[in-house]
Amino acid sequence: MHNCKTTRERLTELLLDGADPRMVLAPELRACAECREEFDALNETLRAATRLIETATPPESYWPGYHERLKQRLHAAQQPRVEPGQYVHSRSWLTRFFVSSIRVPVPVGLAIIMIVGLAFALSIRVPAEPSIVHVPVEVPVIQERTVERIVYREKRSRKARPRQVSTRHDSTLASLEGFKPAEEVKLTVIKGGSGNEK
Amino acid sequence: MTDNEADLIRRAQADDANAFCSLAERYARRIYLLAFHYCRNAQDAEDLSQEVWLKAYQALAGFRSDSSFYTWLRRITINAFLNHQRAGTFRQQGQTTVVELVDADSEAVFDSRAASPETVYNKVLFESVMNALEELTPSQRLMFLLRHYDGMSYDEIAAAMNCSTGTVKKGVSRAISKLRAKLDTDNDEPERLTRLAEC
Repeated sequence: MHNCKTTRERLTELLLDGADPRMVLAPELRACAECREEFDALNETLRAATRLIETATPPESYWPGYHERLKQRLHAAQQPRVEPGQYVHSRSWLTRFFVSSIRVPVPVGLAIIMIVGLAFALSIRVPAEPSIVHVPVEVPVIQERTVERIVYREKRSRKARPRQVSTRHDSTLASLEGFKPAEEVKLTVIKGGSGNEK
Repeated sequence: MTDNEADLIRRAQADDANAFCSLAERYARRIYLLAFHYCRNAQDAEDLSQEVWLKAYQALAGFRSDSSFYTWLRRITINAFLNHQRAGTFRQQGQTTVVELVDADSEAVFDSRAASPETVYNKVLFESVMNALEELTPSQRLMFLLRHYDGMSYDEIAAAMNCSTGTVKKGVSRAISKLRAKLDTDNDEPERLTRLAEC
């Protein structure tokens, strides 16, 4: 079964390989006019591209100058090449240690710089955790004692309340011995007053 | 690899610059043409191809004859091309074409008065194909050149350019389609110029 797409792909491959598709794909090309047209166009394009090589090749007179310039560049760039495993003895190991460099990919280098920077920033911002030192300290303890005492005070009043002394009369009297009233009550009687006056 | 070439490689590895130049003379044209079709500028092609030789000279101690010298050299060439592509250090296209270089180098190569119709046709075809190559991306151009001019297989190109075989196939196919479209557009130009040359 003829398939134009497959045939065109095969045509390109055969032409790029330098083969003649008319030998390999003869039945396909005979059967399909479009594929024949495609073959002609492809063939013409690739032939034109190939002829470009002939046209673009510089003449022989160009090459001596080219090689002379190449020689000059080689001599200019010529440096002592180091074979694998061979060491350069012209410099001391200390000099080589300080001038040697290693190639690090950019992402790896950036990651290292970021990690170091972050660690540095964190070490500055977070204070060091205080260390706990146990030191015995003598503290004087004040021992207090609460003493409760009931104090009875005599209320001062002008009018003496009736005291309930009926049951404890004897003992009260006994306890009032030696009591000296601190206040005196003076009564002044005004004669010739009304009946309400005292 | 011939005995002579192996001997030249050994001597070049022992720091014999003349032996290395002899090696360079063998492959200089191939490398130069690859470079020229890649950057489409004669001066860039010379700079780029000579840079390839310098890199090859510096790395020659690491060549172990596991592959042919040209295969090893081609790997260096592709890497140099890709580095230039990333750096974007090429001149503007069209400053110096190889035809101008040839004209300046040898007066008889292209003289418009004495040019045969075939020479005019070649020049126009050259310009057409160079314009068509300009339409391609650098990667497509390199894939096409390696496949068509250098005869590398898709797998070899994929390994050299660090991409999949499918990507290379697609790149080459697109390159051919673009070239075909561009050359179809410029189809009338050769006939017109051939007529001019005949007058």
